Amino acid sequence: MSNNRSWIFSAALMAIAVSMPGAALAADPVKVGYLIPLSGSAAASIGQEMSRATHLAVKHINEAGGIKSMGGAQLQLVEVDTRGDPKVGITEAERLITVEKVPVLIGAFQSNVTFPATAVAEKYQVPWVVDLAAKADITERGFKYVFRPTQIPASGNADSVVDFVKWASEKTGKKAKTAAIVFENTDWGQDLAKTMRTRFKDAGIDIVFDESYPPNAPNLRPLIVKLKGAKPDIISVTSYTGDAIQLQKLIAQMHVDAMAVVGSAAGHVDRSFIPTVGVKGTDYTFTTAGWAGYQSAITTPFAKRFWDDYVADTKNEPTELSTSAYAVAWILKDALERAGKAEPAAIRDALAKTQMKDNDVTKLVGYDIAFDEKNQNNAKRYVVQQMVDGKYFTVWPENLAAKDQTMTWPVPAWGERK
Amino acid sequence: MTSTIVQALLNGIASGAVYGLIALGLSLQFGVMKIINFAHGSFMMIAMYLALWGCQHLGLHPLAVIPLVAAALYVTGFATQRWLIEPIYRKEATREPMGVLIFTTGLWIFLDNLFLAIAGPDYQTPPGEWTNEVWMAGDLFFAYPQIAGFVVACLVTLLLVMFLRGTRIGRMIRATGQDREAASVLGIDSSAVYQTSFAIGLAVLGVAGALLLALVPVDPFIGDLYGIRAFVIVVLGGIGSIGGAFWGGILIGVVESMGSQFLPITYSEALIFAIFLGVLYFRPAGLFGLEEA
Amino acid sequence: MQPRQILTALGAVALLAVVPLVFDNPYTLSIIILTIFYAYLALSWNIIGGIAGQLSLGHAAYFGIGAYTSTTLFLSFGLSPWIGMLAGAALSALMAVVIGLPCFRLRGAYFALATLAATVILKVIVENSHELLGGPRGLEVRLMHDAPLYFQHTRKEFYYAIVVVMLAVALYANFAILRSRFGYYLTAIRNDQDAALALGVDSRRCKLTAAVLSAVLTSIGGTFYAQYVLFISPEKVFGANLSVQIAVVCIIGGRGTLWGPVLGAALLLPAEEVARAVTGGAPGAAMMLYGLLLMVVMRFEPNGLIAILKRVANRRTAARARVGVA
Repeated sequence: MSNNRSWIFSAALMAIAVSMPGAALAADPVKVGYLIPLSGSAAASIGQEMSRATHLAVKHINEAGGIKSMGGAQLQLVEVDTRGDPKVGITEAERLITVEKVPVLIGAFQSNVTFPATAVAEKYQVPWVVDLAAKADITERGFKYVFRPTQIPASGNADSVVDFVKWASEKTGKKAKTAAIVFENTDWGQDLAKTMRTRFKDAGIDIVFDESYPPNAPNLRPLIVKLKGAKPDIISVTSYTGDAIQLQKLIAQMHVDAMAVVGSAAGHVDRSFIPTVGVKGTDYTFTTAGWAGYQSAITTPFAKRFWDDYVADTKNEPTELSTSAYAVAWILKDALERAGKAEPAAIRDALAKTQMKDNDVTKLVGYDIAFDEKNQNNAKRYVVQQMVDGKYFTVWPENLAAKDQTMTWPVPAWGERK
Repeated sequence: MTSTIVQALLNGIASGAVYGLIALGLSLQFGVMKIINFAHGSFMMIAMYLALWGCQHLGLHPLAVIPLVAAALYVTGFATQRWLIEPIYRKEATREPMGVLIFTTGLWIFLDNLFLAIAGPDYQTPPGEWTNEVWMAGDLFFAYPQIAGFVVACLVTLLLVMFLRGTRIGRMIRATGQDREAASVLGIDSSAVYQTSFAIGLAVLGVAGALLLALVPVDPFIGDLYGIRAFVIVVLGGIGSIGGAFWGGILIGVVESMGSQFLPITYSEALIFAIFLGVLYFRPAGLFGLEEA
Repeated sequence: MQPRQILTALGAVALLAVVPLVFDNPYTLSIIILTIFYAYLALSWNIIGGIAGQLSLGHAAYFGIGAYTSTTLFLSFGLSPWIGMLAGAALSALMAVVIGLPCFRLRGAYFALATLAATVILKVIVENSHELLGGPRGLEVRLMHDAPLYFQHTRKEFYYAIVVVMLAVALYANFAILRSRFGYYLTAIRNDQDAALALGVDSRRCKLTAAVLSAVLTSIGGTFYAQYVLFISPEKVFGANLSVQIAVVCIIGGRGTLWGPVLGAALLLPAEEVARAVTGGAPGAAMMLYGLLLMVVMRFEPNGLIAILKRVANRRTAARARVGVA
């Protein structure tokens, strides 16, 4: 092209480009910062599962038209692997806020990462929706920008363990008198153990073994040898996936007999737990679960689509972990619709006013969504499930128990199992 | 209560034999070449992954992979010594080989993170039921891998001792270790000796890694934990002493296992290091070793 | 000092002052602060690890003591971390003597392993002290927003200024040592301890002095870290990773020299960020880079990158002399 012609051409292009933002702005994607452990940690496999679910939710939300009050703006996840490292969580949260300019964050599964990272968000006044981090103090700091809709403090988990043991003892007449507490020694495990100690004691159950172990410890055999020697009636195990698997294998191998082994969700409900340990090694083991499972929860087309798509995508069935992650994205979408703009303050206010009752999301997770003055949702309850033949079925509370299975309590000795 | 103690003791001996095997290769390298290989743990990690993949992709039994892994590590050891370590070693022939030490530190960091990228961070265990099988003797339980680990470790240690004492190559290696100059005057090619002993050291490590895989899940950083133990054992047992490494391993295994019965398990790491420091301070020649110049 | 040196110094000061104005993005500034911080740590390590040639792989011990002392005193007694920093430094000096006295008898690798072991023991003790020191979950430094008297501020420029001063102090310390007789002794010990002993150098005393200096500086770094990140944990501040990283930065740059550690940090820290960005935060990418660089340096230029630069500079002056341009 000659000089003149190209000049006019580019001027025309520029004119078009300048007028575009008007249209482009209306559909600017809403960036959502997402911190999750995808590697380098005992919780990595859980993090990966949750990440897949979050991505699926975002896909569904965008396919359904995005955020309608923002002109159909699509959600855009800006995902970061925390590697289970609090320092990464802190620096990446800051980077997402100051460089990527995300107006809202979600994550980061692990309490020891979420706790300090949310402080960063509070400092910059950007809202953060916590997924499953259970450390009580996360919502006990008087923060205005940190919300926790799908998780209650770890003490709630521990309460379920003790309440279940009490209930099972009463119901069957076979009472548990002693208990062992085994837990991973970061924030989550410590919090759970603290509650369990007091509650067991109040229930008249003596604690004969109380030990923590460093997460990712490769050799836990000595711990199990010691545990066996203590001869507890109940064994409570609080672990992320890798350790849960190792401990369960050792308990089976060494024939550590107890009335019941009770896990604390997390590792025990991870999709790789039963396949890796094996059906024989996990039979009759109990665990708390923040989600009651297919029968109770997959009752709407919304839930069914989640289940089917998740299975198709990952070849695994959803658990509490993926379900909560999926729900968090939809809770955020609800708040964004009401906020009307992708600005931290507006999103924050909209989140605070969240009221979900009897809708698709609450039916999926099994509880209502609303926040108290500490931005904590108190509606969630942990159920207890038993693993039989490679499947989980709910045994407590009674109103949610599966109708076609009976609980086995106490569980048979390892030597007597086929 | 006593059956717990007995169980812990025997567990410690079983795992100790494997620890000793891990340390064996290091002791050999240290004794012959006076070099410190900080990447020792990483090579063990590689051996474990090779064993894992052998089980997963070739469908082999965890014991059947052992010869394959040993062979693979032999070759690796030969190549590493020849092309990576030797050039640096030559440069600082008379002084302490700090350059090799720092180089192997870099190798350690590199290999660990390479495998993080290749294999991912998750713990992995070999497929199959064999690793879960248990043999019961009254109140005591021993997983098959524990028994196999102990037996194979003892066997290999014995074979190595016989090799070093009885064969010509073995004697050449020992001679070079004792006095390099004198050995070369006698016509022993120190380069070839170094390459062979490094290779043998890694091959033995390969066996140990394969055995360990059946006991403990592998992740890219497993080498850190067991590599450090290897150093502690080598110092305990005395540099260059094969028997020392073996018995040192047993000692560490027992300390680890028994210590956990009386202390919280979170202290066992510190306990091992405290012993290490104690030995370094009071008996640097080791419990069984010869005086080191 | 010659006028030329004074001019360079002033120029450097001006440049440093301008940096935070140019790079006002908090994230970029944090990279810069991190780089300078590691240069400081590398220089601190250099005193014992470089000039004296004692390969310490346990410097995290002092770092951790600094971080935990100032933080605990602050959380329990409200003592300003500035003062806690001094307490931590004193404790670290003591620890350096406690570790050094027995360990300096050992040679090379033994010494390295012993320092590693000492730090692990410290780490385990802290991890097991839940009530006093927070256990493995770590300690949070209470947020005070803008409190310069308490070593805290919401603006990064505050930390930038402090870390630059720290760097200057460490540079000066290295500079002074290198030019002094003490430095000569250390270098002699590094090159051949037996020969040095034969010449009457009190090797043990020199090494201990160097170790104490190094420990004090590193400890101050630990306090800085605690007040900057506002969160410490045993894994982070007592971890072997940190010990190794400090040593590696110094070695790659050029241990025993004045600018080597700075060069090492200037190269490696940004490279780490780039590696992280390029690989999309792929785990281990940055550390692989560190390992690879360390191997390459030790294989081809054990005296570090600074030696390569010097060679290039020398060749240029030689060339210029030949052509007669100068």
